[in-house]
Amino acid sequence: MEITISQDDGRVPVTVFHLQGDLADEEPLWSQAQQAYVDGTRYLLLDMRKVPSITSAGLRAIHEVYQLLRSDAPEESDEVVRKGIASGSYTSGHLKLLKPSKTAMKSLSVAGYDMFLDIYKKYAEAIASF
Amino acid sequence: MDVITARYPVAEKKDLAVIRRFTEAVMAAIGVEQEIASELVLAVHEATANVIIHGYKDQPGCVVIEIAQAGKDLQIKLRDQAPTFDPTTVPTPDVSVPLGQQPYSGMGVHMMRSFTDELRYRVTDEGENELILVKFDAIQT
Repeated sequence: MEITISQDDGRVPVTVFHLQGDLADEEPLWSQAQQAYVDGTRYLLLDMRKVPSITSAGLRAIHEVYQLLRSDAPEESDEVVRKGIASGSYTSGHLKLLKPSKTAMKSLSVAGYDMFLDIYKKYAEAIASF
Repeated sequence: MDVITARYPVAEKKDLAVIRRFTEAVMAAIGVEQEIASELVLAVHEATANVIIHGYKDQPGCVVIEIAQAGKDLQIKLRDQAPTFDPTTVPTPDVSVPLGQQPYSGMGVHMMRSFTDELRYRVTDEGENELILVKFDAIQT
């Protein structure tokens, strides 16, 4: 897995991780996300256009990154998330995904992540959604 | 029944990528439909990752993979010599729980179940773990 990083602007500054290769381990995604968080990233788009598949370890990395980004975001507290999901209005404000492959999408779907993470097909739409 | 076997006498975590590539290559060679092949590669990955990480506790250990074609069906046998453990008894995680509150354990086995039609386990006469993953109608005609 290779990760290149770029910055873009929606309504907020967005860090974009361009992932390339199978997401088959927690590293390097988890460590890169931790470093980005330390450097000030609070809104992250995972560009998954070049990720053929995601294993359970890769899902765990996404899970951990999701938790990290909402850790100091009161608008994504457990209670707010619960209410948002119940009312159908929840969006994952701090972490979004761009165009996972069919196989990667299957992993996300099997794990139920597609219910809780915003997934976009177009880069511009994904950036504008933050 | 045609059987293709790969033996990894000292498999480690770093070999998981090699095992994925082997599985991909066999799937392509015998004409498994692309989407099914990708899912089976993931199922084999999860099974072998569990053996190496949990069974062998990240120490090198033997893993044998046999891929057998029977008509349009596919059977993948994984054997290892880790302490006996039946992954089919692992409970299915509740994936409807919000992402931040999901317990993580059991996801690998959940993926194996989701990507196959049958998951069977037995202890062989030699005392090895044997996990059998079955996919019906996997082979393109």
